[in-house]
Amino acid sequence: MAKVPSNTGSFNARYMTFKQVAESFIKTNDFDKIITNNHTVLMGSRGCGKTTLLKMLHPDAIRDWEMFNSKSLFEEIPFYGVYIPADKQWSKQIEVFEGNFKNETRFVNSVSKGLINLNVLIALCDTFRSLIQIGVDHNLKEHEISLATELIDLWNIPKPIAPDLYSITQRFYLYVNDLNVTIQKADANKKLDEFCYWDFVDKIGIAINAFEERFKGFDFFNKKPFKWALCFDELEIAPKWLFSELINGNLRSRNQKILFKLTTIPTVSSEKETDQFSSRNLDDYEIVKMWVYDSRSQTNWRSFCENYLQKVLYNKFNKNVSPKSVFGEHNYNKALKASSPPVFAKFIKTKEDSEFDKDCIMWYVMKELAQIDKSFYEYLMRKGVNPLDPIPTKKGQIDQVHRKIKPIVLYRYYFKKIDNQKRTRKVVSFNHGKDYIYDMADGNPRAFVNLINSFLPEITLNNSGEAKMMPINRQATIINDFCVKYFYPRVAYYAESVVLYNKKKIITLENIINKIGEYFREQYIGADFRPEPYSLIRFDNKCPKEIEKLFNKGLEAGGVLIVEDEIKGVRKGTKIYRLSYSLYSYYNLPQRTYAIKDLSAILDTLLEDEMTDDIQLSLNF
Amino acid sequence: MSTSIKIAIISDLHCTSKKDTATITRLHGELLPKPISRNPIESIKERIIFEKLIADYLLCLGDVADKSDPSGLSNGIGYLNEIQLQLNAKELFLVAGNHDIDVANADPFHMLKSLDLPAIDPDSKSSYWNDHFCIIEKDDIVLFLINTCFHIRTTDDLASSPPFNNDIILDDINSRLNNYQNINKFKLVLCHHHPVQQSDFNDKYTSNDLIDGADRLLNIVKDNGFHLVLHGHKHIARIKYDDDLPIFCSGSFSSLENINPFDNKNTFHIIELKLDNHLCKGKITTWVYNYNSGWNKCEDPNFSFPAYTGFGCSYRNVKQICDEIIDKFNNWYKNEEPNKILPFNEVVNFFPDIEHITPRQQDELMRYFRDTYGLEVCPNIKNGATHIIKLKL
Repeated sequence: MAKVPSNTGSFNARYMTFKQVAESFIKTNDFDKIITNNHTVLMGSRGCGKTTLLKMLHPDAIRDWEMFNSKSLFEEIPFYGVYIPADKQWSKQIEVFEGNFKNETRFVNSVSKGLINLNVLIALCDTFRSLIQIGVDHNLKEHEISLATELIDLWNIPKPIAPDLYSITQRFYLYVNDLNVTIQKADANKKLDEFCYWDFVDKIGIAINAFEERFKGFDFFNKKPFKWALCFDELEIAPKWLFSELINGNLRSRNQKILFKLTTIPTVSSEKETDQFSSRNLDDYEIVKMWVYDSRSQTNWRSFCENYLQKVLYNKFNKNVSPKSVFGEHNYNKALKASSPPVFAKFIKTKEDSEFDKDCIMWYVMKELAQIDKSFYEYLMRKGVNPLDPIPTKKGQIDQVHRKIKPIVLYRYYFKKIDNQKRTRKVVSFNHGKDYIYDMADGNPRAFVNLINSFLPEITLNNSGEAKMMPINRQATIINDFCVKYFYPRVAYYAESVVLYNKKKIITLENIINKIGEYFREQYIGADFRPEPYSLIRFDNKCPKEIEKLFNKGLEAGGVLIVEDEIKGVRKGTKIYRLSYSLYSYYNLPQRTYAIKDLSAILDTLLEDEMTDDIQLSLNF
Repeated sequence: MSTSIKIAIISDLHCTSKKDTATITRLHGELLPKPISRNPIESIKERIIFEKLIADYLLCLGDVADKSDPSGLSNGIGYLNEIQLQLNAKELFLVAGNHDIDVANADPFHMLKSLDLPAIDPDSKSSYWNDHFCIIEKDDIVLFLINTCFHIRTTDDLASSPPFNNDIILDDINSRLNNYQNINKFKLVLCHHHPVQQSDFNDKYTSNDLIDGADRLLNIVKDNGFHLVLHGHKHIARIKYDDDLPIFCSGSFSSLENINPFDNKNTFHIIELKLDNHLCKGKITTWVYNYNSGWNKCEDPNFSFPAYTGFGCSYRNVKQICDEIIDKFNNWYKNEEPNKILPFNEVVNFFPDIEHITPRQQDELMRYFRDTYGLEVCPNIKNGATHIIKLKL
């Protein structure tokens, strides 16, 4: 069994070498989607694996993956990947630059174009270098020099220069430095070098033709046609004109040998015209959504998690250990027993298909809840269920009433207190089980790795060498601690997530997320029992621009996700959102989806609660 | 007696146990073991495993603690022991730094003394603390450990010059080093403070804590045939000569002072020493630390200290080296085929001393090749050259 690296520290693919990415990479359905012969957009929040997938298309990563896994991969991929990272530093600089030179649009565009051109060609040289090392079996250096000599002439690079790819790359880096200095000096009168006026598609075109001509005779390159994928990572921090050119422009159709593989973050927009991802713009692209957005993607995600966790456990114990033997399956009844052993011990054997029978566990819970929750009592009465003996009496009742409300009933009961006051529980036993744990990470591999790392020290074998099932309450405690220390801060304290609303009030992403979480929690354990609590969000046009900005930050951070399951009563194409499951245990919500609420309605108290101009001082003696 | 050994150098860790010190050192009180790349100790251990690095000795050049933090010192010694184990190094040797001194205590050196430092054997310990130096001889190595902090008794002393301009001390040193004058072993000097001027990056010429009497001390060291001086304190990796004596200033392993404002980097070094008939040469390999990717060899040829460099080259004039190389490989140089490269390992086979040139000499060599012969050493001699190529003109 292929091993994952033994030190499964949290990773950020941005800083990993191609080899490191390949060593820890596990093939998923998403990878199969991006290696098609199409233009592709990978969409997802930070940490969901977009950079990992793009980096895996680089020849170095493919070669290392093949060695590590003793399997072939090159032939499966119908192109050669050119990985082009976005540079957060110069994107910030350009933003400032654009601000300082609002009237010098042409100059600003030329500078930013120069940076893009250079970065693209540096990336292309790196792919060339890699392919020569992998695919040329003799006189590597001479072939490289031959190609480099031609590139120097084709790209008009000033001489003297050593005719190899390293020297060409170093020269381009020097040009990048020069442009950075130009930006910092804010010198709009500076005469720009000609690479600021290049068209990178043209420059790539002539270079890849030169490469093809030179290397087409080698066996390695005969296995597939010469096609190249320009992999632009983190387009959301690239200059806007580039994004526009790639999505809206005609770059895609200019050279049939070039494919575009892009990554970006999903956004919400109140104006359809500015919605970058309207169907009109994306006809040529295949969109790969890298989060759990429907039941099928959930299945795929769980399969990835299962596979990864099996490898991690194998790494730890040097034998096959099933995740189920460690975490078990999610089971509300077992959770109840773990939370209150004296109360529920008597329900020793409760099968799922008889739990609503008299004297069984759910019958007991419903009866108890009806006694302290008047609204639930009245609901049962309306539904023709006897609150004092809530067994299903009519055909279909068990599915339409009992099973449907079961999670709500359990949560209400769990947090019940006499007179509608909620008892707070730090450790919620419902938060356990392997699928529950998988779903918490919501399609984000980095989050999942971090979560598993928090469990690993406590996963042990018994004296017989079998995995010990981790107690439900212990799982719930680790999950609670992890949510508080990692999942919640990851979203709530996301960078640049503050706005000034109506020029008076500061609102943060944390405010928004808390409002949503608390609103939905009240739906389950609030004053009145609701059989259809709100648990989904519609971004409506009553939301102000400031909220739109924060909501997008929530999408970027992975705290809010788009749902694409067909929802009853919702017109197709309407975007519906939910909180990430990673936050559900923080707000004590069951992993279920029910009814939809407009975001403006959820946030109305937040937006109404404005500061007044006059500050009232009170002195207390 | 081995004619080659490897020594690993770690200096100026500045460990603290305090919270909110992450801006002054990477080994602070809130350091977590993972992610590995963000923990310099875990990361260097990973790098040692990955590159199969070994060393005969691990040398620490002082300032294990930061501002005499006792728990910091204790943690730091623990880290050094972990790294020693990982390197499979026979022994760890350490000298006191000014940050390891607790001036608030009646015995400012009590922390280090309590940890059996700088060496385990009682004679060496006694000599180091009482005589301000000790000499330790092993099978293949002689170490002259100087306590350049012996004068520190008050806070004011922390920034003052170690006073070695003292006839009695120097006489004592000379007479004891005399015993090793003709010994054909690797002979190294370890101290914390700098014995030669080492300017800071902001061009402020600071000589307040240069060893007083350093020139006399260095003369004694040279007269007794010592091969290399190693010191810390400045956090800037450098190598220079005093006559023929190489003086290596180690970078800081984990302090952020004198690092962040100047785009300097934390460093870890392994020096491979060769001894041939009392002549010592060295090859220095350096790793730099990055918060996100851990320890790696620096790929930036413009960084102040290269990934690969050396000392002890028999030629001081690198132009002569270049001329001799061209002479030897004249056929290749004059060859009409422009694409033919000269593999660098062939150059090294012909002229092994090219691996023992200092960073300044490396710059000069590259420049001379380029300007005089139209040749480029690729990728860069400082990052590990693989070939020499003719420039496209």
